[in-house]
Amino acid sequence: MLMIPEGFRQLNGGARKELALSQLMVLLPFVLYLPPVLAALILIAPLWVLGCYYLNKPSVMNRWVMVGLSISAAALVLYFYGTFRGKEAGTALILMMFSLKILESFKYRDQKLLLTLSFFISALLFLFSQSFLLVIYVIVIYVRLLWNLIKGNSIGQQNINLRSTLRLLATSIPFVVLLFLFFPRLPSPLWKMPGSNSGGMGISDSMTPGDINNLSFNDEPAFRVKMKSKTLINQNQMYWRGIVFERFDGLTWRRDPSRPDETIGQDEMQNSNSQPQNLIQQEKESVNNESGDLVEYDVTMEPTQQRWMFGLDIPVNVEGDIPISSVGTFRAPKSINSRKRYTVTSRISNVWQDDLSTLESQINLALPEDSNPLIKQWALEKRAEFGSNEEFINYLLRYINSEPYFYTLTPPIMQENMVDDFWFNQRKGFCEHYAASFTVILRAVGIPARVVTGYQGGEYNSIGDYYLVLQKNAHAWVEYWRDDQYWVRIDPTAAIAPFRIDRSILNDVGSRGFLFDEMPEIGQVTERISWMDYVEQWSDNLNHFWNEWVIDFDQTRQWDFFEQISLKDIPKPIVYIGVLLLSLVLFFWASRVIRPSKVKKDDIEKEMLKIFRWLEKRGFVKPKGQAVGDFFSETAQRFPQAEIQLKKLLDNYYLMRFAGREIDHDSLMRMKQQFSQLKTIQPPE
Amino acid sequence: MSVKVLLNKKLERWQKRRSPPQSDVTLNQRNTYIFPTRYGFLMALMILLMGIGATNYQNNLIFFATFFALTIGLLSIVLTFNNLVALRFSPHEPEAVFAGSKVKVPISVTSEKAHNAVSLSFKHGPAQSFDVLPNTETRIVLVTQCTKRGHNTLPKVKVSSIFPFGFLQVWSWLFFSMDYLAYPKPIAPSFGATTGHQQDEHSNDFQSGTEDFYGLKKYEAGESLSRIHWKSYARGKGLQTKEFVDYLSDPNVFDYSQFEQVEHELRLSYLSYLIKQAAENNEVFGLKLPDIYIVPSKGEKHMHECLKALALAPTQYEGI
Repeated sequence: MLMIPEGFRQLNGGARKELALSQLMVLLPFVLYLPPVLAALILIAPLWVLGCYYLNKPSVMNRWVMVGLSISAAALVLYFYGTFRGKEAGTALILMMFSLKILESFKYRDQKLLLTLSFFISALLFLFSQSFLLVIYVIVIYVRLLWNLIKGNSIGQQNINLRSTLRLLATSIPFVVLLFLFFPRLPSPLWKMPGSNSGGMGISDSMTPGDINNLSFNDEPAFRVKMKSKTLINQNQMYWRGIVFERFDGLTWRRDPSRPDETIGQDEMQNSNSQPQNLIQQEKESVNNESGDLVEYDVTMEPTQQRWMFGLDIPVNVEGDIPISSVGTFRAPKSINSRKRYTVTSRISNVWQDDLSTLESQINLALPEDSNPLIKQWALEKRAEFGSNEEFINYLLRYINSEPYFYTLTPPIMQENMVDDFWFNQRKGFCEHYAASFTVILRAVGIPARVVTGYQGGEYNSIGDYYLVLQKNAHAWVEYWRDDQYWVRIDPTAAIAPFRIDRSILNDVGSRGFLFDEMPEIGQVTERISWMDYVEQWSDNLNHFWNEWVIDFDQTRQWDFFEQISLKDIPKPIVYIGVLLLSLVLFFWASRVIRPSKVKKDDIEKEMLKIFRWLEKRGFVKPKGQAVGDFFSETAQRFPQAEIQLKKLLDNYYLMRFAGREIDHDSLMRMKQQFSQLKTIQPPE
Repeated sequence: MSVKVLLNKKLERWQKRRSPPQSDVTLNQRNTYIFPTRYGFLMALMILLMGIGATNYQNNLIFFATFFALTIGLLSIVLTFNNLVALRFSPHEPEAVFAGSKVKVPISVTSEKAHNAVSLSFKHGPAQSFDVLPNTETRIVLVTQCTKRGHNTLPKVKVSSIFPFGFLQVWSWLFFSMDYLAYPKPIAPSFGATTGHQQDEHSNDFQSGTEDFYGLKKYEAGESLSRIHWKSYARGKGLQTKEFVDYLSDPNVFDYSQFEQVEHELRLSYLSYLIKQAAENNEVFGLKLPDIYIVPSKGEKHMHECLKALALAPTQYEGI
């Protein structure tokens, strides 16, 4: 076959079809992440080429139409994103140009260019999703691309099958794992890529319950917790402390700026300068003689774009130089833009022994003078009816339970005096409304109280032995000062009568437990360890493993891994040299594996024995010591129908038997084929 | 001699040292070279970009794709190399040709395993692409221009392949220790070039005549009895007549010295032309060179003998 120089070789219709199919495979998943118009546009070009192929039409497009298409594609990207920079816009532009390129791909080299680019473009998918399924899809794409390249480079005399490509894939897996584990990683990006932030969620820095009329809870994981000790905690009693709100201006709850350790953010530095510096320092020392079990646990937090970190009940220690503030909260040094892992020790208790300074007491009693007059008066009147604070608080909880207070995620917008409006008029709200109102009432009667937000609950995953806390577990509750000794946690939301809870969220809220009633019949979902749960747990467990070991495998994790396989003490260069040597050995092994498969001579003999046995059953017994050739020709005389088949078999047998050291796979396959042809022939009676 | 030519010569000497000319060549690690193609470099660039992207977006799955592509790139070195190594090439001696025409060189390609899309070519020549089946001979005929008379060594043959992915090209230069013979390029003598006996080349050099004895032939009825060779008749060989020819010009022997004043190689080319013409017209002719005399005769074998003598003539005759 005469070879035309590469630059002049043309693609035939079949090759263009294959190319279009490969391109379509690469582009298809991007459809999920592009605006619909752009998504449709990137598919048009390969689909057009395919259509032309199947309709037997020439797929040559007018030059001006093509120029027009390119310009309008770029214009559309600009229209949708307003820029060509950044992850989304950049990818969209690249995809557009990549897609349109097939319209002018008529030459062999265009094919190779497109296929080589496809490797890169497929990898761009991971900017949009990091799901496990997508990885499998990209592997399939890569196999397809390689197969297409092989097909394009072959000259079509021998069949190209997928087997060699799959063998290559299998061989490359150990390398990929090795590189993944040992390839030196950088702790931070080389430079900041535009648009690498994704929207944060979860807990916000301030709380204005009256302004929210549609709170959406979602099923995204907030964090996962793995207990280091074997303490099984009642999931209903898991309160994950996040932010403590102490300052109330009548509308919005904020952290109190007069606590210096609460306001270490650079943006707030100036504000805190004027405040007393060391309000409560003795808190940490007093921790040790308190009651309650200490538990240590690892938290893996999803990115929030904020600095808040969460700990169970009363965090007493966080690993890695992160101080715990005087209100029992702690924050990351920088905003959490990628999954973060940390270890915390907490005291499991709903009371927190502490000292309350005068200033603190003032903070936690302060109410804006001119707001919510009704509730202040109501609180004072009611307090007078009871002998102690505890009785008063119990009364309040029962009040919430018996009066028509509703739990809903779509509360009405509250009037200016939010607490008054909520407590006396609307009576519909979610945890923030209840926590805020409860705190105001307590403060009104002189009980120091504050709002704590965070998460509550956590689903135990028995397969992975961890607790999964979801975004929808976000919660707000109250802490009040009791007996001048303790902060006591109280959750007014739990006092709501179950039948006054919005049915659509009953299950979610129900899992938090109720203060007074058992779960009502309507939400009969208790004791449901069905296979569905099992599947759910497995899938989250897989996800967790995937996140932990694949998606979040950063430099820290890599060093942890080194430590685990006790490589930490060996100097890094030696580790890398060792890994390099290991790779070389692997490479040597791989280069032997991916050679065209060969067959041992034994295999031929085995196949031959099968043939002898088949012939024996039909009355052609091979005497011992007779040469195969003689036996076959004797058989052929008595079995003339099979003469041709026998001769073919014998020729092939000799060819393999006396050829070089090793025999290729195809010859053996041919022998098997010939044997099966022989079987179809009926022997003489 | 330009630098380029000098460098090329040096390069070829080096290549030859690595793979000395042999009657057949089997490719091994020593005589086979590998280098990325432009798509290989493009792929390397893609991998680099993917690596930078993965680092900057801290995206481990892009790292995964990067490592995957990198591994495939590395393994393709082995795959591409294996596609050429272990191929065995043995050329067959080509038929003698005239200098200036094309020589066809058949080359047998064999291997114990399968090879895909292997290309074979002379330098600057068109390439032949083919697949090799295990233990099956594949015969490829390469064509090259033959430039000079005499013994020619086969020019180096390039064997190359980019299979399977086209990211790398693997190639080798095959130096065969095989010679082939080239006759001088036939050039029609011009009138001005000759000073000796001149005759019209396109007419017969002789015709049946009466003057010179040429040989015996079977008696045909009507022939003159005076021509009957009685001696052989007496020996019982039947009636034979003596055949005489009249030479139109004295030499039906092409003589080197015929073309005085003509440059040596050109003389050989003239002679080559004359012999070729004479053989095509099935004539009797002989050849006289300063050191060789080939008696007149006919036939293809005779022609090749004469042409071979011309081909192997020294580059210069002493004393002439």
